[in-house]
Amino acid sequence: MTARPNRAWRGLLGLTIAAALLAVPLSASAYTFKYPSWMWEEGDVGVWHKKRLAEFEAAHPGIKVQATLIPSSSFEQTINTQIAAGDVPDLLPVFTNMLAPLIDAGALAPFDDCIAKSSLKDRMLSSVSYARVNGKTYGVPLTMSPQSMLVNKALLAQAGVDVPKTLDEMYAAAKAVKEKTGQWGYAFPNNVSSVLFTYIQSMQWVIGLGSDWATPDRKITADAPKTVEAIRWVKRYLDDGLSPRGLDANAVRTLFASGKVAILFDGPWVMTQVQSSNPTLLKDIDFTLMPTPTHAAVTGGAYYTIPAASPHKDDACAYIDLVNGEKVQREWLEGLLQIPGTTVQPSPDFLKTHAWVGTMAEIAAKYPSGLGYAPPGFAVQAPEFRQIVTDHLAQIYSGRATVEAGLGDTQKALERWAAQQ
Amino acid sequence: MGRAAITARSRPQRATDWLPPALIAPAGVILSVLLAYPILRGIALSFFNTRLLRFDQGRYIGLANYNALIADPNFWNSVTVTIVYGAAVTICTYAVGLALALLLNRRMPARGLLRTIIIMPWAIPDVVAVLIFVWMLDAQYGVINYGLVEAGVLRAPVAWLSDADLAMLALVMVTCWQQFPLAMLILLAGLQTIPRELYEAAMSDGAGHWALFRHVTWPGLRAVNAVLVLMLVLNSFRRVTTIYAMTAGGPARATETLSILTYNTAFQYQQLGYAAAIGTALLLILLAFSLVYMRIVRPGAEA
Amino acid sequence: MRTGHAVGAMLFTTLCAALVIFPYYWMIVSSVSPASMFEWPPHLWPHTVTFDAYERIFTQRPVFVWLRNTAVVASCTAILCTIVSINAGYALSRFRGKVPGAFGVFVLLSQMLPAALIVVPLYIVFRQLGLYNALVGLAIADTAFTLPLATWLMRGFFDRIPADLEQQAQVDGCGRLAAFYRITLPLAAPGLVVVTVFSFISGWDEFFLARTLIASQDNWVLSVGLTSFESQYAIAWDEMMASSVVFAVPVAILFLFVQRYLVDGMTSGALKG
Repeated sequence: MTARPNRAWRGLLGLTIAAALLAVPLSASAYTFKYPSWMWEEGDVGVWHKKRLAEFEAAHPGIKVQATLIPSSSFEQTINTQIAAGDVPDLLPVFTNMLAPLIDAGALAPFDDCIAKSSLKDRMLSSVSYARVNGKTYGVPLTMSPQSMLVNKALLAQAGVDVPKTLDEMYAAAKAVKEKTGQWGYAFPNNVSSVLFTYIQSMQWVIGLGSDWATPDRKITADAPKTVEAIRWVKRYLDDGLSPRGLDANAVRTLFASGKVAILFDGPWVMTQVQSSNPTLLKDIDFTLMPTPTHAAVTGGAYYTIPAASPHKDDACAYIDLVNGEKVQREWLEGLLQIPGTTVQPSPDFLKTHAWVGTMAEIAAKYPSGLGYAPPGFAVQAPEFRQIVTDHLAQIYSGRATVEAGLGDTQKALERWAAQQ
Repeated sequence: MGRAAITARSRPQRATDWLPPALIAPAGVILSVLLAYPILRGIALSFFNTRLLRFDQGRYIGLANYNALIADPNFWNSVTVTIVYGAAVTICTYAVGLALALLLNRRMPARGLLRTIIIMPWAIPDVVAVLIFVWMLDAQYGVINYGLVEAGVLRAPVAWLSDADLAMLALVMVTCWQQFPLAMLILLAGLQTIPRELYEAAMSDGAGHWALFRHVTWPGLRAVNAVLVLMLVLNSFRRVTTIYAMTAGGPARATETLSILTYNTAFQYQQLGYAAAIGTALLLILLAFSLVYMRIVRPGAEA
Repeated sequence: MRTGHAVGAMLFTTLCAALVIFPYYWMIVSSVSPASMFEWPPHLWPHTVTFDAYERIFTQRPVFVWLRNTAVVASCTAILCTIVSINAGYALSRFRGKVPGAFGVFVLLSQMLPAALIVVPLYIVFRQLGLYNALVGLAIADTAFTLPLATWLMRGFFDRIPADLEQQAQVDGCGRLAAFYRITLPLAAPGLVVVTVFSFISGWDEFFLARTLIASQDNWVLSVGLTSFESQYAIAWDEMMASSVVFAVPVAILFLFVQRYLVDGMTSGALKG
């Protein structure tokens, strides 16, 4: 009903804007730059992003940045719906798991030229490779943190054990903690309703033993001996009552931050959480090497991308250059205690008080990492892949299937599914 | 006769009557633009291989999505899950609603207050209901585990939402808690339309409680039951927010109803065309159910 | 002996009511005693009470704005839905023909609609109409989903009111519409209450459409705002519970006032097939 006059109005408005655009040079034109993110209100991270926004607006008079907050839990769906309906942001941060499908759909623009002009090119993290397809770069890391072992040294000391360095030591330590302190030895997210976290958790063990759910050339390896061994370890913690059942990732972190868990595999954000919710515990917590044979850490985080349909790619490029400046990147590392999107050397003073950040940087640099979201060959159809794996892990964790039989079924289900793709 | 008379008197000439269409027009416009058009677009999508992120690039593939559907074990799993969930929720909601309606239909002190308290769950938004119950069902700190352990029903706390059977049980419980107040209100209204004289007559014939219920109350509720049961079934088949926020269809697809499968296929797997086929299948199933249901129920209700 | 029965029934009903209302109680307890939330066994009676979480949600989060937006959406939905459904319901009740018949089928169909099926098309329609990211737009969408049932309920109420009354008024010189608005509508007042409350609650509770059709945080409603308490790494449980209380209480208070009319309304409304 109201569509027609509205559209006519818009048409007029469009003409006026077009005329205005022709009259003034493009870079100085006034417009709204759309930058949705889940981080705008996320504590100090939000503050950091808002500072950059202010700097960008100051440097580009006339451009108004529209900072839309989308909750992280619905970010992927909201953005995908908007893109499907033709409503495209100008600068788009994405979670790592969103990257491959967006690139595959042609929704993102490559911006190698932009990177080449920026100081960013000398400080790129190797994980930029996950955003490269056919030699073109569709994203640069925004934050990239390895998930490694966090330990509560006080609990371990109470149980009379050291920080474990091998899987056998870890099992013994968890058992000792449970028996001597009554607290949990090792906690991990196994609320299998949360597909993503259950999958990521399995990856910590699977790549830790040097395997994966599939090879890069799409050969399924769910029943490979190393995969079986990995899941057998996980199952042991549940069977022997050393790990709590039914918790999701946030519940596990809360449990750890309240001092009731000795060992956790997770990212540096847990340190931030301990610092804010239970500061006295912080001195007892350490972020250290995975006890698995490969010490491999699942890597996760987010990327900056530029949508292919955005009319403001140059400004998006300028924004990406701004947020990746060396100074503000150091502020990210030292102020927010997370690995930023680029390589920055922490100052010696900072390392003195935050030794674990040095360890984290070392882990990120030294040990093989892997994406916790999907095997390399299945990045585009990752959600279905994760669903199939998690469906079977649910059977195994709940005791409805043995590890061997369950993974045998996983292998068959994945092969059947992959054949249809 | 009365109606015809009105129309005839005010419009003696046999011109088209403008009033009914005019009165319906606002509703018609809203519904056709915001419901009918999107539904038709949705149904049309089911014949295309559209992916969410390539919305404009879908190719017409005829019935291929439907053929895939029939061969898809996940679809059939969801059909079963939907039926189990729908039946359990309907039975549970109806039973609780009826029991409380019968109770509150009796004379007792503080009846108004109790009635108000008992319909309170209806005031709780889906999102909030899920939050409260997820917290109460928490495997570690949940008060429901505590209560059941204390009462001797459970020996140790259980992880409600990560066990296939328990998750379904929990979901039915939450949905029932959300829905029974409406069922109760409708049944209470139905009970109050039953003439007192019928009870008095039956009692003077010496009928006991059970006989009263069987021969007076139950037949008196027939018309209300017909509507209510259909409403409960349709509601449970369509429900998304509660299930999605609570289990997202897990663990291992144990609570993945057709609505949730449609949602997951569209937004997780991004296969919009295939999701549309599932959604359309759900629509057809509900339509078939409604037709059969009304066939069965109608003759009785008309009486 | 009769009073004995009545008291017994009351006690039993009270027990049921306590069970039904427990989640409310637990929500409130959790919102005021965050310190004991993560303790086992849980304290059924809070040891310490603090209103910190409430202070935080009102000072650090725009809960007031969300509350206002929710109230706007719910009120607009209630008003719009009631007005539109009165007219449509009346037409369906008083006139028989192809249009009302088709409408009836559509009402039933709309009750079977899987929401996921129409989200993307609806999003596109909303952008084209300029209703995207507008509270009024969301209210219109909520109305579209509530309208079929509301219309159908209204029809039931009008069916119960004899057409003779209108006829009489028309003999006395009233127009057809005037007869409807002055004579029939007041008689359907209990039904109006039911439909208004019903559509108000639909607008108040709605989450799926609100999440899809509203973009900026200034326009969020409470159901969407609540999901933002779960950040990437942690859940602010106490703030979530406090906001839930804030979210639920206005409707609960509304119920206190209208519950009597609700039962009366439903009783007078023919819930017939």
